[in-house]
Order: sequence, then structure tokens, then C-alpha cells
Amino acid sequence: MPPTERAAAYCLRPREEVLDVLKLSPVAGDLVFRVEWTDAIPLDAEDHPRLKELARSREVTLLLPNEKVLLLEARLPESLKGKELEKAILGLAHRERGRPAAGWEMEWRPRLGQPERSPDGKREIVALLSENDLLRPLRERLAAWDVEPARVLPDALALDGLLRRELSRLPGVEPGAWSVVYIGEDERFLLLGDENDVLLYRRLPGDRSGGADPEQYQQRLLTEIERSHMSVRQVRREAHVRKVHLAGTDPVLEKLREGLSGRGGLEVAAWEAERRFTRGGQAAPASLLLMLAGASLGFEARTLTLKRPPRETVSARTLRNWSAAAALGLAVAGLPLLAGGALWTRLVQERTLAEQSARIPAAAREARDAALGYLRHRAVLGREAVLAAHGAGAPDLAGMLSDLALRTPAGVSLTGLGLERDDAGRHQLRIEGESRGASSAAAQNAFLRLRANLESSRHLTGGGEPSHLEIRQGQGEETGTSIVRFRLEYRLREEDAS
Amino acid sequence: MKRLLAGIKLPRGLPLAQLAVIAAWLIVFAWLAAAGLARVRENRALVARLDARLEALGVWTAIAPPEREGAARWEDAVLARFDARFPAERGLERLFLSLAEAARRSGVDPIQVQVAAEPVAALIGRRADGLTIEKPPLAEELDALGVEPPRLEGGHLSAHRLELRFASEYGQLATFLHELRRVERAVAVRRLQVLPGRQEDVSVIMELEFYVQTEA
Repeated sequence: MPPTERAAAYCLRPREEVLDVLKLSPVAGDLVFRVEWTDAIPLDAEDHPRLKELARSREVTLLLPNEKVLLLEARLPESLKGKELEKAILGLAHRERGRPAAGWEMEWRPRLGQPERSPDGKREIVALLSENDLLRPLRERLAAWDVEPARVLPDALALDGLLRRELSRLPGVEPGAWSVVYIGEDERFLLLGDENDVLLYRRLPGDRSGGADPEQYQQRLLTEIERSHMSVRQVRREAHVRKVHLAGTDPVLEKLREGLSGRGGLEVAAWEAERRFTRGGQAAPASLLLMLAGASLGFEARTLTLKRPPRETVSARTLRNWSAAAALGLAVAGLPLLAGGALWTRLVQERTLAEQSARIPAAAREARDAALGYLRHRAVLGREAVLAAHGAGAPDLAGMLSDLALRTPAGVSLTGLGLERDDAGRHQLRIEGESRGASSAAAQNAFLRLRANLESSRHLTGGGEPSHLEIRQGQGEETGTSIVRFRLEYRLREEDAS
Repeated sequence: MKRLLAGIKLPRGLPLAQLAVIAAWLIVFAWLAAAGLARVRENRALVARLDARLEALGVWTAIAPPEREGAARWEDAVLARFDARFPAERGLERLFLSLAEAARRSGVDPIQVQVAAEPVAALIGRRADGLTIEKPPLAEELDALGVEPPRLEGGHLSAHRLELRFASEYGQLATFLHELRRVERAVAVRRLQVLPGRQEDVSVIMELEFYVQTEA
């Protein structure tokens, strides 16, 4: 399987109270890598300079000690699926470990390379299970640092992945089973696999003599290796181990090579995979092999890995990732929509503006004409009102004089009339005259009749006390005649004057 | 936000070049959206302003006299009458002739007529209302429209006076006053003094007012 194009990948591996960290980058081709840095982060650290970089990466591999992860191989009915299949696998794990496997993290897959359909209706399953005593606290610690491993697997499977990568790229590799003997400072195990999939891994015994009896230690290892080869052969007849790869740092590996060579046609070779990794211009030390193998899985498209139990809640980090991805998606999709919407709105607005601008001159012209017409209309109305005031509405002075003559009774003669209009348009009428009678009473009565007649005139109003009134006797030719002289003042009625 | 951005992990297989394309995409469209929205905001204010302008202009069309043709005929007739009653010049010759003819028809001939040299006063007050159009209603709207009020002649009237003296019978005086109302020019009696004359006659002194159009 070709590697994916990644700039860097990381490997985490718990060791006592720290977490060893290694960063790997590809150098050339797909088999040579460079170790960028290694570090150790205390598990109780709240912060660390490497954490931000780790939190940003998607290619973080977490390695667990082999004894914390159970590799199961089983033939199970093809009819088992989903929860039932998982339950069956957990049952097998229970039988293997002797304690309930509920709550373990688990991943499984059909064994690679097996035919699509088997005659007995069963299929081979490869499963990884891990107890949570180590893994759960580790996950919580990593979650607190915002680090989320892309894969979690045992040391042995990391080495398996690395070996498969190398074998797949080497010409002339014969098919068949192989084994890897890894003896390092902190891990000793035997790994068996074939061209299709991993077969088993098993912890190898340590040197009980503490280096005092290397021969015995060597023999114990040889026995264990042969026993493992045979046990696999018993289960799977075609799993005939033809080649043994020796890896690690322990000097006993050289003895093992001598001891294993030629036994049962075995081909034994030292596997110095660390030479494909450089660190500071030199080959990487073999003590880093497991972490190098783990980090190099970041350049593989797919590996078997433990997955988070579904009952666990989604972490805040995951939520943030989803939120961030959603926000990014919204921005990528929404911004063009927003820009398009703004552009469309702008086009509509500009069309409206163009229409409005085109309408404005005509509307202004019409409005100006209408306003001029309106003003002219008002001015003409004003002139018509003035015409009315000086036409039919003007005071009927001729009528007033005729009416006055008619209302003047016998015995009364008018000696003077005065009419004056003030600036407000009101007309004041002054009437002077005399009434004569054989007696003063007769003369006065004639005057009073005149008064009464004028009071009922439709032309006059506002008659008050005479401004002048006198009674005197006539002289000369008028001796024996009583004369009443008077002066009356009236206003012409408004309706008559308007 | 910083934590959020720090939490973003690029999908598998997303090289830097593609990231740069996405970033360029976001920047370009963010810029387009921001510029577009800013322009939309400006345009919205402009559209509202033009809408208001069109609405204000539409008001004038709505209040215009509905029958322009009929209104024009009526206006022409009124203005012609107004110019005849209140001419732009004193026109003393024609006015004297009109007064003499009225006197002849009334039998008060001969008459004496004397004109005051200067106009005595502008026609002020209620009767003059509506003549001027210098400060019409909706003045502010007219300003907004940029419309100058139409310059109709006769925005103001000045009053001129003349004095008539004659002797007549009382009835002839009434007839003369009646005839004055038939004179084409607008003539108003401002002062009238009637005194006994010789025999049956009365002696009359009459101050008349006539009007001439003037500018303000």
C-alpha cells in the first residue's frame, strides 16, 4: 500500500511517568525518514512546548505495551454481525484473560487475504482489545492536552507495520510466514505474520540470571521462538516460518542468529530498520526502533488500531474540531453565497437607481409644471376675490341714497350727507337735517319717525345717539314753527360693503 | 477563537497548496462580500433618498388642477377682467372719459375732476389677500423643488385718488353713483359730501379711488 503524503507524523509511547514523543518526517522515497526531534513529556504536565504541535497534528500514533493489548484471532460464523460479533469477541477475550472484557476498547477486522466465502460459513477475525487501566487515563490526559491519537496499537503491531512496508517495497520476497524477534531495553517479544496479516505476538522471557548465564538465556529464547513457530503451525498449516528477523539492541540477538540459522531451513537476518531513519545526519539508534515504527505508521493509509468505545462522550476537542470544520465549511460555502447575494442585491439596486434617476427629470418637470400651475391658480383666485370685492360686492351707494330719500318722512329735510371710507374698507355715513312742526312735539315726532325708518334700513347699521340734536323755534318767516336740528351717524352694513 | 483555530486539523491528503487555494478563496470572497455589502448599504440609502424625492414630486402632480384646459380658459378670463379693472397704468384719459359718460348718463354734467399727484396708499388689508404669490403655502416644498413662483403682473395694487365736484338733483346723484358701478375700471367712493345747493340742487364733493397694478 503506498504511503500517504504527510509532512510529519508523531509517535507517543508511555514510559513510567513520562510520555516519550518522537517526530518523523519523510526524506526521500517512502522508506527513508528523518527524526526531527524526540522529547519526553511528564504525564502530569499542564503544558509543554511540544503539545501545541501535537494538538495540531492528525498523525499521532500512541503505542501501548504489548501486554496491555490482546490480539485475538478467531474463526466466527459469518452470520455474526455488529453487536453480536463484538459480544462474541469480548467473550473470547474473557476466556483468554480470565476476566470480563466489558468496557475494553476494541477493534476488529476480517483477516486479510482470506477468500470471500469459506465452505464452512465462517470467517477469520483479527481483533485488538485493550483494558482500560492504562488506556483510559492516557486518553484523558491526552484529551486535556487537546491531543487526539489517530491510532492506538501495541508495540508489536507497529513493528509489523514497518516490516510490511519494507517487504512490500523489496523485490523477490517469497511468500510465507516470518517472525520478528525484538529484544530491546524495555520490550521483548516475538511477532509472527505472513504476507497477509499478523498471526500472533508473544512476550519473550527475560534474562533471569541478570547476564550471569547468557547461554541459558539464549537457550530459553530459542526454545520459546521454536515453540511459537510450532504452535502457529498447528493452528494454521500453511504458516511455515521461513525467515526470522532479529531486531533490537540486546547482544543476545547475535547469539540467536547463530542459534537459529539452519534450523528447519530457517533464514535468519538482522533487521536493522533503524538505519532507514536518520537523526542529526546519523542513523537513528536502535533503541528508538519501536517509536520509529509507530511514527512511520502515520505515513500508511490504514492500520489496525484500537478505537474509542462508543459509549464515551465526544470530547470537547472533537466538538471543537467539528465546530471548526463546520465553521470552515460554512465560510467556504457561505462566503460565495454572501458575495453572490450582495452582488445580486447590488445589481438590483443599481437597476432601480438607474430607473429612478431616469424618472427624476421627467417627474421634476411634471412637478414643476404642476407647482407653477398651482401657484398661478392661487394667484388667479386672489384676483378673482379682488374683482368680486370691487364688483357686485362693492357698496350700493345709489341704493342707499334712494332708500334714504324714501325713508325721510314729511316734515324732515336733510341738510347734509357725508360718507367716508376708512382704510379697513368700512363706510361711515353722517346725516344732518331738520324736522319742522307746528309744535316742538310735532317736529320731534317727525325726527323720531326718521330715526325709526332708518333703523329698519337694510343699508345702515350702528345708529346710536344723535351726535347733535337741538330744538329751536323758527324765526322770521318760520315764526311759530318748531325746528329740530340733528346729526346722525351710521355705518354701512358689512354685507353691503363687501 | 485562538483555541478554535488551533483545534482545526486539516483533513488527510490536504497539502499546503490546497490550503493556500482555500485561504485565497476565503479572502477573495470575503473581500467581495464585504465590498458588495458596503455598496449595498450605500445604494440602499440612495434608493430611499430618490424614492422620497419621487414621492415629493408626485405630490405636486396629485394636487394639480384636474382639468388643465378648462382651468386655463377660466384663468385667462379672470386675468383679462382683472387687467381691465386694475390696469397697469393710470390711464387717466380713458378713466376721465368713463366718468364724464357716467355723468352725462346721470344728468350731472358738468363735473369737475381733479387728480391727486401721487398714489395715496397701497391697497392693504383683506381685499388684497391672495393677490400676492410671493409667499404661497407649501413654500418649503417649492424651495425643495427649486421652483420660482410665477411672476404674474399685478402682485400689488396702488390706490390713486381723484376728486369730483358737481351740482345735481338728489336723484341724479343716486343715478351717478349707480353709473359709477358700471365703469370698466374699478372705482370706489372713498368720501362723499352732499350739501344743499341752490334751489332744489345738491352740491356734491366726491373723492374716488382707482387702482393701478404695481410691482412690489
